[in-house]
Amino acid sequence: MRSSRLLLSGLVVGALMIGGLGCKRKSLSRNTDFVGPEGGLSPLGAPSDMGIGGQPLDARGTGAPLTGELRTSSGDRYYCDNSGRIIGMETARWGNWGVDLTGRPLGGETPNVLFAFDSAAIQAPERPKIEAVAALTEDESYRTVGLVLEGHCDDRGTEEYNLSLGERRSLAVREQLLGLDVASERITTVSFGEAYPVDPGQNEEAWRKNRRVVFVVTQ
Amino acid sequence: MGRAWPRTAAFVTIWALALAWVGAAAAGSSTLRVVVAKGQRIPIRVAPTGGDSSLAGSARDLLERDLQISGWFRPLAQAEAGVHEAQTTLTGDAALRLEGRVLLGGEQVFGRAYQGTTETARAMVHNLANDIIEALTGQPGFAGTQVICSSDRAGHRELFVMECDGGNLRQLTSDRTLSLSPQWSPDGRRFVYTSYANRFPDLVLVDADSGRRQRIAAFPGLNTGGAIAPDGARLALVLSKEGNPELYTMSLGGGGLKRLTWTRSAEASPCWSPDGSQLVYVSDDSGTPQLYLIGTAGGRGKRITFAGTDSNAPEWSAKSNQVVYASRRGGRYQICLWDPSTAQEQQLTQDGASHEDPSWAPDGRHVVYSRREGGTTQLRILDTWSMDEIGLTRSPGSFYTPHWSSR
Repeated sequence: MRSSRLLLSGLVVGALMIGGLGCKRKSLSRNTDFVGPEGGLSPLGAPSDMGIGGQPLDARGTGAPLTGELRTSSGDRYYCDNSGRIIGMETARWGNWGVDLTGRPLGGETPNVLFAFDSAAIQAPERPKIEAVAALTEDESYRTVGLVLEGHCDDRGTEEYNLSLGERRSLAVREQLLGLDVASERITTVSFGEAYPVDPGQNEEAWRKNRRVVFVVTQ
Repeated sequence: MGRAWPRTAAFVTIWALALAWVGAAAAGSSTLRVVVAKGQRIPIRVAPTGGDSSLAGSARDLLERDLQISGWFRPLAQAEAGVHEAQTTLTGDAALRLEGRVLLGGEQVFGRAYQGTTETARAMVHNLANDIIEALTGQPGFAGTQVICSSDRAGHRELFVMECDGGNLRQLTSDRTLSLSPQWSPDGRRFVYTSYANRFPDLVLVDADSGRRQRIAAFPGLNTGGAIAPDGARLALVLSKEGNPELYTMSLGGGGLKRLTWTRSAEASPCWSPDGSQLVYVSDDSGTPQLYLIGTAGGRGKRITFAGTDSNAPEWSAKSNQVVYASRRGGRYQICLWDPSTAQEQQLTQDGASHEDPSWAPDGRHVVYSRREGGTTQLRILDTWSMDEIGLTRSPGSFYTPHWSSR
């Protein structure tokens, strides 16, 4: 079985041989000096089949991303980066958000849905972004696309709480989309917690941008 | 001696190390123990290691560090009259022999010898440290126990493990994605963590000895917060498959999924009570994340923290029956204790760094936590009795969500 091929015990013994006692003589006053050298960098065994709740990847709605410019029959344009993330929207009814594919600002701020600190409530100014994305999925050219809603947090708070909070944000956007008659099977949520900030700064402006749900369009 | 040696060794699979008693074994007798008041430390001088081994200098330093981390000893730079002195001799090359003695006023109060190899040298010193600690204080030592964590040291967030002196750091995963929040089982033979290896957050169970990995929860949405029950048979976890992150328990063998909470808020970070009848966890039902208690039958959680802007990351020590957690006070996270017998909250740390994700040592006295300061996050050990701190890790990379093994 592939999973038993790489044994953690072998890893550890190997690391001890490299990283054992031998190499250094350090003074206790510099109390971080005992960090051993890295060794045994082999991976763990590959995960075996799922236990309970297993879902094949496709069932989670992760088709290949749609990239580039998506133009609807009404002339609205949506710009997606190479990962399918919407980076800009130019719409007659819901306004302009973000940037086009060349990075040119379209007049409004990010198309990501932004949130208050420790909150998953949809704020009124964010609602047009959700309506614009719902309209994209209703367009005749895009009736089969899927949406992945990536929930993110600022890096205040613990990782585990932020995973749950990011998921709540994704689910809040999902609820709004369901209310706009987007079918639930087209929507997938994923929380990344605080792992992927758009701005690593430690200030209000950075945190505000990081508390977000990102729309990803998939085939 | 018993406790520390065989279990530590089992993890690192050093079957070959033979442990030998030498003379002067009377050392462990209780009449020689020093009575140590809470928070006080026995002054001890660790003399340079004698013998012909090239590892001798490292052996001395590691023994001194182990004794200091134990919380029972205060190493002295110079020998002093009337103070304990630890003497060691390390001889051999591939096959090592370590002899350890502790003298007080010229009289030997401890003596033991250990045999091993270059590969087991660290374990030999840890065993000597634990035997000295037990002989002089009557308390079991925890030298050589393992701390697992997540780190971006290798670029992506991967799992790492180290001995609790910070040495022998090893990278466990190379998945090049997010590997988060590892937690040992109470017996230290398995751990569970949140893996994005399949692009979504799934819970993966790892057998520490064989390295075998099994994906144990992969429902739509969030699968995280895995915590193995004291009985080793059940898992607490957070799932969002029913439309909101909620607390669940399940059998580790699969099946038996039971939902405990029914809220419109975010639940996170479950941790079992020592008797397995309750869970302490985080919920923002009140508007900010706070700690709650709930029975394993489910129902309505009872809020237990009220001080501070928010409270997070609880862990309940079976040894000291205290819940340690991180609470935001004045914009910074501080390490706090909640006492189940009095329901009192107590703030331990005070300084301007951010202190997060505390985890108890086997002694129920020390905690390891991640300290964020100046753009880097590193692990430190805090002695909750004396408030002494010792750093475990250093750059490159930051280290997060440490969890301390029982072995």
